[in-house]
Amino acid sequence: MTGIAVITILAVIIGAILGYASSWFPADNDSLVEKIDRLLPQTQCAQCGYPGCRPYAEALANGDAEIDQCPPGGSEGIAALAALLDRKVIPLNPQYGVEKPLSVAVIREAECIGCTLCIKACPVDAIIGAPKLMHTVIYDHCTGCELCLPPCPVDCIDLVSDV
Amino acid sequence: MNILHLRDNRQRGLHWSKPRARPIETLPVPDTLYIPISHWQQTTAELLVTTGSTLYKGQPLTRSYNHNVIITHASSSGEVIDISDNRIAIKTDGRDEVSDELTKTTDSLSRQEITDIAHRNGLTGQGGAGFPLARKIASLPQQPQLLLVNAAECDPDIHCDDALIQAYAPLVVESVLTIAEACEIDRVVIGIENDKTRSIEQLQQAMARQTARQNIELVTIPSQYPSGAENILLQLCTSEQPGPHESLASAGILSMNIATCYAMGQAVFNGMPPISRITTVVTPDGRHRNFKLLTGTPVNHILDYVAYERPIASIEQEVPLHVTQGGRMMSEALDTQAVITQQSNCITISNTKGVQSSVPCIRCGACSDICPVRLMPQHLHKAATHFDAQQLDNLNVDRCIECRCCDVVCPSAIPLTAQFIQAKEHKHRQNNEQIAADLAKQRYDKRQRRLQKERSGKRRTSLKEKAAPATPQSRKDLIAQALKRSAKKKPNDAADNGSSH
Amino acid sequence: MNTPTERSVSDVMLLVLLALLPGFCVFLYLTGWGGVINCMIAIVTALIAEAVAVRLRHGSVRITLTDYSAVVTAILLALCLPPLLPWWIVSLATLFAILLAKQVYGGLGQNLFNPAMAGYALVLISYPLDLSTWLTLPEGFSMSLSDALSIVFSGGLSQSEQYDALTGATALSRLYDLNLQSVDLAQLAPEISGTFGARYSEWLNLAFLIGGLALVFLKVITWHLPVALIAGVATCDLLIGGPYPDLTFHLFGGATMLCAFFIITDPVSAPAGNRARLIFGFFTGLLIYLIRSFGSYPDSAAFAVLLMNCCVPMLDRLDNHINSRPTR
Repeated sequence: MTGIAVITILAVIIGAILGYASSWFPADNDSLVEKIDRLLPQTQCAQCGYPGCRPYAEALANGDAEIDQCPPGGSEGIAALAALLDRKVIPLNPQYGVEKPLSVAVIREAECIGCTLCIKACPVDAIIGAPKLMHTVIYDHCTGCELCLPPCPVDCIDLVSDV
Repeated sequence: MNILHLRDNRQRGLHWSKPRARPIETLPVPDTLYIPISHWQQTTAELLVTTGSTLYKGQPLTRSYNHNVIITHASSSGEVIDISDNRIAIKTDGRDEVSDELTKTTDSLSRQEITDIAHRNGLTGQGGAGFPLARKIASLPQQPQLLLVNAAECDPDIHCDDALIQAYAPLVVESVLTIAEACEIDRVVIGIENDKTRSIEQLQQAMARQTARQNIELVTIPSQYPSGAENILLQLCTSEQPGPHESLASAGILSMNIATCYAMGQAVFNGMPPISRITTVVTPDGRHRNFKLLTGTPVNHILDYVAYERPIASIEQEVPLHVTQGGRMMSEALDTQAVITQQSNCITISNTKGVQSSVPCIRCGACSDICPVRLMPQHLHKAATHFDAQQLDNLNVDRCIECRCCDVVCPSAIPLTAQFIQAKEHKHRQNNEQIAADLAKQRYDKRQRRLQKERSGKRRTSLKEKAAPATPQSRKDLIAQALKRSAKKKPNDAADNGSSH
Repeated sequence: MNTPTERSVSDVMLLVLLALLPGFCVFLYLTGWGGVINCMIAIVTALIAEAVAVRLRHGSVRITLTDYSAVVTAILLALCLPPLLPWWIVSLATLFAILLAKQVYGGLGQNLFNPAMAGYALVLISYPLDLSTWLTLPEGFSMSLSDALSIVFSGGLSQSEQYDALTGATALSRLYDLNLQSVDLAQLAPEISGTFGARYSEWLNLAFLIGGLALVFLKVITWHLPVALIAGVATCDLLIGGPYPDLTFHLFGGATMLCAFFIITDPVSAPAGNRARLIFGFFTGLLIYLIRSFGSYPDSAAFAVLLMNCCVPMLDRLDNHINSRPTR
């Protein structure tokens, strides 16, 4: 009997200390966002429903988002996120897109009318050009996020798998 | 743990007793030669011939200004019959006529000139990797310290360099000296295994005839595998150690295979580009022979020739032959379409495929005892199986020279080297992805900040505009006033100013 | 491409078995049919256990059995066990060695502990009396096969009264018992000493030494482990002294040589890398000395080896750290 009593009292005390400690030292959320952000592919494609990789990382850290929302990261990225966040590995949610090989945007320069709409859409400033002049993509900086495709009025941008 | 810091400076590796190299034989010119067209990334060499062109031996087939693109030449006279699959098929006419447009050089050369010769003749490293020589010379620093000539061929099956030295030692020595003088290198070291006595003698005699010129050090090294690997040879010959992440050339060391030196000599003194190379052919009965083979000779041609000489019993059995390139250690399988290139140092023809099934690692440590660069393959194996990038890095997987010594000693027959090569590639790819992701993130953050600034900036300017709206009219007035002011200041230049505006 | 291996795992294991041969012969000479029966029981149990475990783990039974590692484990275990043990003790030790010490960890190459020693330790703790009692035959007496079989399979010694006279103790355990009664060592010398080491086991140890040297010569094992172990025992004995008559008694008594050349050189449970091997061997020797001199077991190389096996991952790190220091 005494044994059970001792263990119970110990459990209560240790539980209290742990509970107190967890409220005293709040979870280090900022560095968690940083860590998640590093695992994301940084394509800034917004396919996850958030405006960029960092907002998605913040949502993940707060527990508002699932880890299956990043198509460019693919299964490898999901596995890494699952390991970091201690969640179960799940397949990519097709609602957000499908995993594709790395690709870059290429402007068919002869057809470009110089509308600058794609320049404004590009999240990483990888398109250069001026109004009424031809635009081109800096391939080294292009993440293949496809955000420049919908605004183009003449549909002159192609996605080409990476060289 | 200084107490237990055992100094283990002995060279590690595998030992084999090697038979003496056989003299060089030649094969009849094959009916058809297939010369590959070189390309580097998206740049392809520009073709100088079309189907039907008549060719002479040594005539250039391609042209390029890019040092990474290797220029190829016709290795015998004949006619172009087909250009497809990135190779030029030549129907030989059997006359083997030499082109009369070859340029010989007798003057002393500058570094630029020797780079040009290397590029024009399509010279590449003949040790196996095939790095363009012109690029290697061009990447040397202003004051290179050392010309390291690699005459060590540590693979137990390869004898071609030994045969080459015995046949052409004077030309090789002269070529080595010419390269050293052109690149303004003061110290020349030839590294050769101590059991190649005939070759050492030949080289010494050739060097004795050249005493008026620069001094060459002939360093003998123990005969064992993999002492012919660049970094290990350097360490054996000069006890210098290259940094882990720099190439030898950028450290001021020009490392050249002795066969490359010979090819360079041919190009400089005879104007003949490298259209043939000496290749060791290991026959199914385990004997080796050295052949001087034309570039573009189909491997099947050699097979026919060797098979013709096979004992009748083995022909009757019709055992399927298995052809590999690169010797016993670096062997890679060749398909039936393969041809002889400048990198073909050894062709092995065998009856068996020699594949063993592997069992789990028993952690015996034989691999780390043999590893010439002192890695711990048994731990690397574990890290590579789970692809633990951090652990792979800690264990210096990048320092693996892929010599396959560990594969040979592994009692469990685990294909360790193949696994490490794969892990390296995977790691490299991941690294590049991470760099790209970091860059994208940086640019995204900068853009976000800029957009923010623009938004707040717009608000400020719109407030200003409300206070004092700058209409196009008033702007024109301002310009006119400015012009007037400048005209007053410089009355003499006023006319000029006016005309230029 | 797969480069052909010079020496496969089964080659290594066969060489170890060959090197065990001289010691094995001496062992059989000393133990008679009892030793033979022990070995047979151990080998058969080991092979069956290994086959069943591999089948359950969906591995290839043929490949696993032909690497001979189970046979080596069984024979090493049998060499440690006294003859004429009840058959189920031998089987239990072997089953524990193969199933729990090896297959549960994932089979060949994955185990942390030396399987033979783990099996031996289990039965040593469980049946200390049986394990420290050796039947020593009086001069001129030989036991027939049927007698031995009946002892082994019909439930121990007590049934046949006539063999009570044969029950004796090993030199080390005899010494240990007497030491507790603080008997003068000099008096004991003739009883427990042989020509140069402990009585009987000196020849066994000498034979293992010869076989072990052959292994070193054939480069199956490196010299580091045995030399370090012998150095460990010798250093302690010379520095601290102890209950034993002299150093050769230590080295040629008990299981010293078997341990030095065959037990700790098991590649799986020993560290790789020469520095780690030296440390591992030395401390095993040290522990053997300490347990013999001050512990409550007369000879427990097994415990020394198992304790050091725990340190192998750490020792591996040590060597790894030194070797992989970047040369920048």
